[in-house]
Amino acid sequence: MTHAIHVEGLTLGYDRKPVIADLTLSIPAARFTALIGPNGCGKSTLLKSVIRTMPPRAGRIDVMGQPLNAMSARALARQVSFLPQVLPVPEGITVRQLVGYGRSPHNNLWGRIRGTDRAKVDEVLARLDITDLAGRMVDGLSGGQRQRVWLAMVLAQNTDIVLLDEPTTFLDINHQVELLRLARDLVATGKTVVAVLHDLNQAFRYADHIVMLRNGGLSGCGSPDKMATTPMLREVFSIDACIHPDPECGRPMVIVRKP
Amino acid sequence: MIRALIVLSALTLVALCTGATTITPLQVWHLLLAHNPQDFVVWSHRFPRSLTGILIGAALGVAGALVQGVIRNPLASPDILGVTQGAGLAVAFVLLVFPGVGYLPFFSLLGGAAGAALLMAYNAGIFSPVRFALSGVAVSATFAGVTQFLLLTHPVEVNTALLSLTGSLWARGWPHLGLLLPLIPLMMVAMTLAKPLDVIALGEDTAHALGTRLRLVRWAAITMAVMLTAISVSVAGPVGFVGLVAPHLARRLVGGGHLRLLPTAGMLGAAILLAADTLGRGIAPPAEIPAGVLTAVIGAPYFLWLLFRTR
Ligand SMILES: Nc1ncnc2c1ncn2[C@@H]1O[C@H](COP(=O)(O)OP(=O)(O)O)[C@@H](O)[C@H]1O
Ligand SMILES: [Mg+2]
Repeated sequence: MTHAIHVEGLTLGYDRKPVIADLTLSIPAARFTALIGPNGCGKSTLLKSVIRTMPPRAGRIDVMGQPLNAMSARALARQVSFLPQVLPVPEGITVRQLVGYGRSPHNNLWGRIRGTDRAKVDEVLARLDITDLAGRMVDGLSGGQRQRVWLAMVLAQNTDIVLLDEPTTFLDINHQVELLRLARDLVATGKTVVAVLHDLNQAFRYADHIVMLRNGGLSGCGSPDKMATTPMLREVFSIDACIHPDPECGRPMVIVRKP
Repeated sequence: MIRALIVLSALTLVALCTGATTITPLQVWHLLLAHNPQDFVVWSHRFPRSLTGILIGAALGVAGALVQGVIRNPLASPDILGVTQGAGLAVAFVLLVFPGVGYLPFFSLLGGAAGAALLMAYNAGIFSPVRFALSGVAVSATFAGVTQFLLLTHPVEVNTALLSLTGSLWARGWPHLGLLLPLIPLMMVAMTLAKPLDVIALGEDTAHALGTRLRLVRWAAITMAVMLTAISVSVAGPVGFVGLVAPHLARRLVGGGHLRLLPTAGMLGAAILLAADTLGRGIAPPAEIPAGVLTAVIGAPYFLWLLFRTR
């Protein structure tokens, strides 16, 4: 299996105490990886280091076999896209404009949207079923609509690696399932998807690969079947749970035990 | 954008007609075509003065849009950054303490850059719009206070200095336009920042993910804003609030895309300064109210309202 992202001896942090210390980890290419772990354990911080918002204190990051610090900003933006957990509300721009900004690593100095760019924007708007929102102002959307619109912007960037930080937080159950199926579709076309998910059952059912973080570092990684165990969940989330195959497709399902 | 251009053109015409002697638009047209250096009303006075106002107003508007775009703070503008008053203080210092030295735009640039550097250092790593604005106002007030002190302690040289430091277009003419010419290429270069500024409005993470070199863009935008403001201040003195108000109005007119926002902010800045100057000339001729006083009278309450709303 080839690696889309490989980090080695990575240490990250905001002030003196590191959030992630000496982490070594590989993300398989053309697979759907779910990143799970308790609040504040450093999932967002880890993703931010891959797009270089968060410079590492120590260690190295490789993207598609290339060292990250040897890549230009534009080259990286053509390989990796990122949906932030917290979405700012840009003032005075339409949904179509926002999605068009996703094309900026591909277009010229003025950000002019040409034919191919426009076709891509139309395609992702249709794919996410938000064509009717295209003319609306972004600052007037609901939380869930905004999240899908931003996702469209990320998809318009059309990169081989797609990082999604809590992409389902504001979505209703229908759109959550839509998003997880979309992730599967992307993987089927050879893209690598990494998503922070909080719903363990969704993670175990839809992802190929699970990375579990806890405070300070990695708890383990592997297939859902390998990772979905009672001791693992106790170690990472301090919960007492049993695992049963789900009746629909036999993937691991987490049931929390009575206290 | 077209609307802003129409407003600006109409204001220019009014500016050329208004003053101690009022003339008709048709007369203005003939006088402009005549290029007559003996024509002391339009060709050698009101026309260059209006052009000066347009260039300075546009520069302040563009500078404001650059600063607001890169600091992502609705309260940010060159005045609030301490650039305007820093440049004003430097100009006053040179005029009063070393009269006859010249190179005013250069010293203005130094003062403006020092003001910006001071404020950026004080707020480094902290992102609180209100703290930013308040410290900027404090720094600006200090600079203005020192400027006042210099004016009071050097009564002999005050006449020339006052002319340069009141934020006025009075007696600005053809020679001043030469000093302002660098503003035109600067504003055009600023347009290359339109796309990165659009992306910065989506947040730091997205800007990075879309391949923007954030540090470079921030640095370039602030530097350009300082240069635009300082050159303006070296000719007209500190004119407050144009750089704050023009980008806000522009955002309402054309939205957040900087490819249209930057030129619109420029045109509106020009329109505001020209309107203030024309009003100042027209209220009680032949006496004049400095344009900077009028922009402050309108701009200061607007700033307070913004400050109130940002909480
Ligand atoms: N901007 C920041 N400044 C300082 N500390 C931060 C910042 N962002 C996150 N942290 C801290 O870093 C740790 C990890 O945060 P984060 O990566 O956002 O966690 P997660 O995404 O797993 O919930 C937390 O303890 C959080 O308090
Ligand atoms: Mg997070």
